Amino acid sequence: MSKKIEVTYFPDPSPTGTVYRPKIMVWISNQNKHSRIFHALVDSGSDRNLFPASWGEAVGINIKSGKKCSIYGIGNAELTAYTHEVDLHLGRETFRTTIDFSYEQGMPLLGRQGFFDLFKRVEFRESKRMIEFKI
Amino acid sequence: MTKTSKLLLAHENKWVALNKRGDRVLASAKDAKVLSKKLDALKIGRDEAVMTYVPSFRGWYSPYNV
Repeated sequence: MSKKIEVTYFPDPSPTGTVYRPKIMVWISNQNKHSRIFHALVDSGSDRNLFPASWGEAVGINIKSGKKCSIYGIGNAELTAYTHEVDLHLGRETFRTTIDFSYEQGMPLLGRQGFFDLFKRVEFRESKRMIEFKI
Repeated sequence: MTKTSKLLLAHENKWVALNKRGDRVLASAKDAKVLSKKLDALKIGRDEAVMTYVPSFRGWYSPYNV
């Protein structure tokens, strides 16, 4: 039987007042060391998960010991990141996945490889400002 | 503007710890690691706060520009 997780968008300030973003509450853990709970942006435009290095360090990861990779974005800006395997927690579910950690990234991003592909379905319900994940 | 987004106006480009209901700022810092330490010092438990990054709201946000 498939499980369902529903989460609501988060109201951030914007140039015109409030913008509702698909920022969801998650935390990560590594060898029984758990981070604090934080918001990560569900980003269907990101190929992979990209988190600030500080979140990896919070669970005892030596960031630069991971596999080095490059991430490109708008304006062809290049970021250097290091890939590590961690546990990602969403609601009552725990997923073993990989995250690229970078010292140059501010917002934690949940991308297609390593997040979207954990689910049978990811549905953005814009009018209700919520996302539904089907496992 | 919602109450939560109004609360965040004073914390542009910072990490902010909100209470679980999102109606109170518990602490903020430039870096998530520093903010975690502040919460530890304030004896605020893992289940009592959610940390969120507040990107600049002077313009529209795209996560890809560093």
